[in-house]
Amino acid sequence: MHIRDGILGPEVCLVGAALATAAVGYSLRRLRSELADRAIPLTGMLAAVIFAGQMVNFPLFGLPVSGHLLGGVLAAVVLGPWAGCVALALVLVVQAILFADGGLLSLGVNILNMAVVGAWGGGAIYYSVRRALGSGKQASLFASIVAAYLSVLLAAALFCVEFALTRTNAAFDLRQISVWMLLYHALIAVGEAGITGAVVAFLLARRPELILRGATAVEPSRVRTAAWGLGLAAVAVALVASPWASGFDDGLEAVGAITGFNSLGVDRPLILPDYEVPLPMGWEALSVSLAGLLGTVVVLFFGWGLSRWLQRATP
Amino acid sequence: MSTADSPLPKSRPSSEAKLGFVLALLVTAGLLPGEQWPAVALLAVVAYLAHAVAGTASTVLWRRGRQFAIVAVVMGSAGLMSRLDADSAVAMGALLLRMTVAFLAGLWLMQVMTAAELIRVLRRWHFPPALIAILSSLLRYVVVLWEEHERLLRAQQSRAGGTAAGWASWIAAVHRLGLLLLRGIDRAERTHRAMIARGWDGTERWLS
Repeated sequence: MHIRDGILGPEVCLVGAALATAAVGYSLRRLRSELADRAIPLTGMLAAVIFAGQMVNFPLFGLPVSGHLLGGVLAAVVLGPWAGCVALALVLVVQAILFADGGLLSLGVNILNMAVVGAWGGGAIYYSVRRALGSGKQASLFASIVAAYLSVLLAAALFCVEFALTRTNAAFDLRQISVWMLLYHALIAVGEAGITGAVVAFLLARRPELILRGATAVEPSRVRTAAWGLGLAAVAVALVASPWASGFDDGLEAVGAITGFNSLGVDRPLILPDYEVPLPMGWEALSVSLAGLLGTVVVLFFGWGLSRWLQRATP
Repeated sequence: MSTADSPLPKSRPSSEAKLGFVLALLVTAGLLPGEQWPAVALLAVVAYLAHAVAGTASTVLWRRGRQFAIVAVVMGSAGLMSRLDADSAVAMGALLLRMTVAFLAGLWLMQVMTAAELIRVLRRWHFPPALIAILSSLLRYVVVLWEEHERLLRAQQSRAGGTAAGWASWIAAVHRLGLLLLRGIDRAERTHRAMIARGWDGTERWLS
């Protein structure tokens, strides 16, 4: 996730640094007003935990690599988005200057993508989902999983925008790079969601007051209404947006079309080839919409199922 | 206590010079157009020479270089796969050269800049005192927490009779991370109480 120097232009880095400075400055102000004199030891320790936590490797089964926590949503869940943003920003400063991890010129952009989007964006998603579903244990766990997943995708999407704004990158097909970036980060996001969810489940089992702080009872009717609203919104997006998305070529297919290796492929029967549900009438848009709807429902069930399993599996 | 009376070492101008040197390399490499790639290559040579002067161990260069090479190959492949033509190839070559300059410059800074120097530079540049205090706290406790993690790891291994594998290793890592977080928060509360006992009122004060 750390952007190295040289990838983005200095002008984009400068704007990113200005935005990051404003965001971290605002977070620091809010942090000091909310935590008062506890702000420094608590945020410093949280930053140290995130720094150390990023060195704890999670094995990726069967692969010769390992993943690690990014920590934006976890920090926002435990101490709130302001402390999370400041803590992550400082972790990135230390990583860039003392460990040469991530660029020095790109530091502002990295803070914007990981600290601000991770803690502010992830925190906003977490608190919105929790407000909608209630602030019980399972709702908090589900909210943290969804927020962790989406925060990684948001950061990847923001990088694509920054890459597109760099004038020297006009030689590349930005649409294809965006497709690759989002696909790759969709996998990373699953890892981040799994690790964040597992740690939040652990904390809910050991010290629930840390997570459920400020929890308020929500009327069951409001919870049901909000849950239906969220579900319908996701379904509507899938139905309306997926036919548009289907117009884009897959990155690998595009390369295959250029280099000619598509002809080497052998068609195999898939569950839903080309994201289309086979319909007798041959309505492409409708069949893609149905496939999108199916995918959305599967993702919602995956998130809910993972949160239930983690809650039961954690001693 | 005034700065002039301080027994602590003063902020050496060389700390700012180091940061300035690296920033100058990065900005110059970033602003040079792709056609000027020989100039960017020259900057890479300058950065490499800086390593030679600083005495960077070849093992460090080799280890970090391997990690950088993986990123460069992935980045280069992704760029070329996005559009396979001569313009794209030249642009990707220029981008990889800029990344090489940045990698060498960043690694050089890592070799010559210490944590204490970083804090002194940030103070001279009038960073918010609260931010510097949090940064000092991060640098102070990250070692402590990592040692705590090592102890947790050893305890887990001794209880399990060896290193966990598969799902068990994943669950063990989650438990370590969760415990690290809980112990970190507990330690922060203890540190806060100790600070209050020493007269902490929320105002950052520095010896110099």
